[in-house]
Amino acid sequence: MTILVQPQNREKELKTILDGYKKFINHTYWLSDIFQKDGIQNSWGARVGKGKNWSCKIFYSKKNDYDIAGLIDHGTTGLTGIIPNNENDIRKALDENNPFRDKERLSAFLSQDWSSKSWTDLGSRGRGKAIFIASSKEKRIYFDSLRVTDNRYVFGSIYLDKNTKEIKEEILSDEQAYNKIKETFGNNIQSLKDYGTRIFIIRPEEELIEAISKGYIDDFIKSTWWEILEKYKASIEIVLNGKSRKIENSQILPVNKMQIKETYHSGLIKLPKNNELKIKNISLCYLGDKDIPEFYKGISIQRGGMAIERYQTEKLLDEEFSEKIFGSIEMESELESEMHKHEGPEHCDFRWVENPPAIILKIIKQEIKKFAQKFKLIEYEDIHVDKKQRETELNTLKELNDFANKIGLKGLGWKNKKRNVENRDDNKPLRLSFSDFELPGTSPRVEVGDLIKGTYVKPINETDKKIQVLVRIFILNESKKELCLQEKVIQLSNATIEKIGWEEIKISEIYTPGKYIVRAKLISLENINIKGEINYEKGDEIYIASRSFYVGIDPKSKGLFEDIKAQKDLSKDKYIWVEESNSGEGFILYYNLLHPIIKKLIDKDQDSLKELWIREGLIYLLQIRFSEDQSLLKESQKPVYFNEKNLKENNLNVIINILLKHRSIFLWGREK
Amino acid sequence: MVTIFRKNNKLIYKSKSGLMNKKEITKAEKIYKELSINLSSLEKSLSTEKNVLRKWYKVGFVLKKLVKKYKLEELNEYESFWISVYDYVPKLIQKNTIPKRSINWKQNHFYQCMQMTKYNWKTVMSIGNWSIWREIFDNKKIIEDNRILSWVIEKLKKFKKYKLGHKDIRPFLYAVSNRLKKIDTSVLTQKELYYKLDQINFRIDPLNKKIEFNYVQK
Repeated sequence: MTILVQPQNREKELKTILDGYKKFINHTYWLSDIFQKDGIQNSWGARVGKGKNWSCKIFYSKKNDYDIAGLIDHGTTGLTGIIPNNENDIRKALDENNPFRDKERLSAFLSQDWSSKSWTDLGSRGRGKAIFIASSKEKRIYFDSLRVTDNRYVFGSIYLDKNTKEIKEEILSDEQAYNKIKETFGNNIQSLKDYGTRIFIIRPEEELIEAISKGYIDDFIKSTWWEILEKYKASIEIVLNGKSRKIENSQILPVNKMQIKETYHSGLIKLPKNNELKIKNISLCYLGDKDIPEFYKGISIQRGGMAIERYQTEKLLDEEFSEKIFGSIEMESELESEMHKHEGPEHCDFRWVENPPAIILKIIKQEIKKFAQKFKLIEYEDIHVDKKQRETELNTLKELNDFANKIGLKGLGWKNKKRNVENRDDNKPLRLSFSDFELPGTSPRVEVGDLIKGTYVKPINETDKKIQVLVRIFILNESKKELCLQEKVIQLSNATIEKIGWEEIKISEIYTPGKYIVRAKLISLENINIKGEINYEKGDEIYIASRSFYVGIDPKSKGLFEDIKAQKDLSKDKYIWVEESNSGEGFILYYNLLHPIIKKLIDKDQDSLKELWIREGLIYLLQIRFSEDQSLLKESQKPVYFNEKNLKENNLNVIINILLKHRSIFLWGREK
Repeated sequence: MVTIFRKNNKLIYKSKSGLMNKKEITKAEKIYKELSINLSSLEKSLSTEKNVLRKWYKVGFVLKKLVKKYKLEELNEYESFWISVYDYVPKLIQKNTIPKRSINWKQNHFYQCMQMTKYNWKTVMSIGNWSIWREIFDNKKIIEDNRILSWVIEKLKKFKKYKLGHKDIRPFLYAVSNRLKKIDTSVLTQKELYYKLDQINFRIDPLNKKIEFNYVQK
């Protein structure tokens, strides 16, 4: 028999790991909840093929001294890989350079915090074993597995040595394993006959027994695994003292199950800055007067068929009815893999401040808004304002963006290039016409696969003289690299009809996300003098025309604030506020037309209204700068505006005072 | 492409779109590893190099090789790549952190080092020191067409005896750029181009180390 001491993180106490889980699951039966989540996750991750023959049973059995809970699966690969003789074998098997690392399921199982799985697999941190050990009063588990790869049988145990406080493991194979299971369990348990794995929890914790016997665990499973139950008809059973019950499909998710009119499906959504990453669907449902069952509250963030986290809807939309909205988001595999990199080690949350999770959150937020507007849960929409008021809005916008620039909040459109006004003059007698240029949508943004039509220019000569010119048209990327070019020498007269360029261009994969410019030049090939008024020398660029488009990204806005918009909202807490814009690249300053203070000024005193917007807007600007500076400081970078002492302040009163002081400085400067 | 910045021993991955896939990350890691190794191996030989111009010329060569190999020029992240180079240059080569002007890639010090390697060492030397090269790079019209640069080089060779500093030749380079500002020189023959350039009327005042324009000979 080989006795192995677990090779890594051996001093890490089970308690720390469990505390990590506990903070996510806020109910009495938290241990059972994570038991099912981690147990089924490991099993589903080891399924053969798409999981057609996969099944998983959670059981509890008590007869005299025999008191065992556990988990059995079939249609899985079993604990494959080498059968280690010592810790070094495990290390080697799980070494990053081992190309077959992902097949080393046994070594991964015996290890802690090491894993054989790639990022695309469900669990990949190997913490689940800790849950099994913690679920046993004796802190001991047994396991056996019949492996699909070599038909070999393994049996072993993992336990906490109460004297040395070490996690120890025993592992046997083949004949020795068959003998050992018989010696351990007598006739109560037979060795496995089908491929798969079994875990035995010796003398399980009361909480686990209760959840299995009273059926609470069924709800945990349904709410976590609703997607595979529904889509793959996954077979999950609970076996209590030999009596089996099947876990039925959830009646709450997917949202159509509720058969309520107020349901919504977004369909496929490409992530704004990377078209390879796609959201399969965001489903939402509004329950009205009814209450959402506790385990389904929020938006279920799905990965690999499992509900990783439920993101509270109230955090996404600050409205009273928000908590009545629930639903789910499913992603395509590339995006799932990306999201997995930003998942907490317990598989219970994501690091939402990072990307792409932050982008996903923004998209969910937008979809919830669309949903709420569609079903008139929120009445507000952009209100049309009169010309005078719009002028005030635009003046305010400019001034606020100037302030924003001063404190380094430039939005994404700070590179406002000077346009060559002369060249924009359509009345020039010698010019190029780009008039047929047509983007597929209303915005300059295009996606891979789109067609841009009319990417050609027509040279125009309105003089009586025939002149020799060169027309050159080319497409540039952001690095000013030419992607393609066409040019033609023309004897240009007022009768010339020519098109130089392409009838259409198809946006292929070579157009990586970014801005592109189609530029055309009219170049003189002779010295021209027409009636002393039009003078060009050979080589002169007579006319330059450009059109731009953005692949997979939105065009840059002109400043931090993209717009100022009016809303009508009866909630008393809505006065002047700031929201991130839909493009996600700037902000919108909203004001509530129904607020008594604004109501008093509207149509009457535009100047005071502007003052009000600027004063309030400045507070938001300073607050955005403050939190951005705090982030910079955290990343050991130099803050842009606020000093370090201010940024380390935690007291809200002091922070408000700092912001108000800086606002005062700005307002002072403005008056001067 | 993914750009990998290195700040306080931490690697910061950035991409234009904010998202990156595994393939892109692996490729970027390969590029930056190569960049780091190549620059570090250069460090030893450069530590004894006293000729600043030759030092930057060598650095430029290493960068050119990498840019060519991975076709970095074709990528939208080309600009941020040049910013990130600062994070990988050993201290012996460049002590300071990135100056403001280098944020604009065409004025990025290392980009300009690479630009210099378009010309053979003999030509590079004949023009003058690194400061003069930088003045030239600041006038993109001059480096747009090799024939213009050749014309400028010939003139600068003649200026050498006056021992003009880089600031002294600045007005001259500006005059060249300005003369051709609106002209696409690619359609001109060499004769036509040089005819236009020869129209720049100037003379050198050796006493005041000044170049005077629109000089009318008595």
